[in-house]
Amino acid sequence: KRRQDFAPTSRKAPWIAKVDWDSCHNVPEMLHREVEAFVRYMSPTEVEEEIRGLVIILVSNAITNAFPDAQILPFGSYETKLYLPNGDIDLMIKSESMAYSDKVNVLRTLANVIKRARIASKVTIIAKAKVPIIKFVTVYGRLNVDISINQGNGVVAGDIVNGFLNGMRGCGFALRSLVIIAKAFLNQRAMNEVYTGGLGSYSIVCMAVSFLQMHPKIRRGEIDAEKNLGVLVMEFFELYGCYFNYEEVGISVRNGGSYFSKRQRGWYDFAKRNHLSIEDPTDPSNDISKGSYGIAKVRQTLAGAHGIMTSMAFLRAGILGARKEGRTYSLRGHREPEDMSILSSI
Amino acid sequence: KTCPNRFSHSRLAADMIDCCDRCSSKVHKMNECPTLWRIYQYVADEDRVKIMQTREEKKKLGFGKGSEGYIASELYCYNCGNPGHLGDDCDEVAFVFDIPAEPSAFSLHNIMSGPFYDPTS
Ligand SMILES: [Zn+2]
Ligand SMILES: [Zn+2]
Repeated sequence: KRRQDFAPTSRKAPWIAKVDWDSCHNVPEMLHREVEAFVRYMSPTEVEEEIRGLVIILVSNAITNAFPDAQILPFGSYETKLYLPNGDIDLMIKSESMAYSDKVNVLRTLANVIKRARIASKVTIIAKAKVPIIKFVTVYGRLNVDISINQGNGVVAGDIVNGFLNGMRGCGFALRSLVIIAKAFLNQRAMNEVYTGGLGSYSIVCMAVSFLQMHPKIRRGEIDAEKNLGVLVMEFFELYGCYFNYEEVGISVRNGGSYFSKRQRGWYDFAKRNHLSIEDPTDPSNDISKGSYGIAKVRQTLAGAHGIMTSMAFLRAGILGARKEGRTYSLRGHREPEDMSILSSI
Repeated sequence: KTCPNRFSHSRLAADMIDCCDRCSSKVHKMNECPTLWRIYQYVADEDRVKIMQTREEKKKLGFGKGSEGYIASELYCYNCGNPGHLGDDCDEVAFVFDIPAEPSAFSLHNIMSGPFYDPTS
């Protein structure tokens, strides 16, 4: 499971080291196994979890020394373990005294606290965003940390995401897989931060939950999502890259999942008409993704990935067909194993 | 259509070029057929019954207390947001982005494929 345990058989796609392609009968089966391997490879190791835990303790101690009434709560991907190896740590401070002080001053003081405690040498203050934060990279562990103040529902949201991860029968690992792959994909293209117009972690999770809820084969109970990871990953990129109508349709993951018409709900804003709308699971009056102004670019990139994945799939199908006719014996034999990887191509 | 030469060699050959051998679509060739990758691993009949039962039980639990595991059954449209049909089959709102040249996962076509489709219901 540990990343360092993998022999460097492939630098481009190290996760495929243990994938058994030879026994696969079709393309989605191959991709299914690759997705499983990729998600295991990208999921946090014990060491990584420990380092993150330590960083959180260091930051908490430094802040409570300066603000005794402050409570530091990790939320988002730390709690749900849906973070990438280089993923941010999101912390939220709950504090009465900070609530009554000027936000920018509080952020400046916090930045100084972090610097004086030698947790980071440089701290960036982003005061103008919808949710003002400070950002820094820790000296120990080189981790990105975002801290926001008194942002109520982040912690509840983590519980709800955990509810989806554990409660959706046959879908938990599928949800984890879609989120990890979508995150890794968007992260590579710097499209996963809300303050630069990308998709935030919470939006990605809700899109994945909604995709699984709304998929006709899952909705009708015909398939176990966990046994169909390959085809579902391709259809996830297909839906949000090619067909989902961001202008008209909003997403709700409450009550078993539904879509709604943005116009009928009064969430249609002509100036921002092509923005994604996701109803906040903890507060139906709040739209969690309206800050993602770069969604058109995200959509195009997802569509591009879907195009590459389908052409790779057709190529693989051709190779599988040739193997059946005895023209090639082993997919591993005289080919580079990473040639069979679909995920490394996107 | 009643042309006596309709099964002539040239006619057959022309059809073979036009049609996909796997799904007889005229939009793509056989080596680019979506049925090469849109393949599902279906559950057994009794598992499907169980899946639907556990969902109904989860529905009763409160949100944040277990009902997250519930999945509703009504189909919704990704194009207009309304229930009752799937996005590919929408005729309520014009398509803004790609008009599906071929059925996606969210189509009647997809529902009608697979072992659970019952044409009488
Ligand atoms: Zn075809
Ligand atoms: Zn529609």
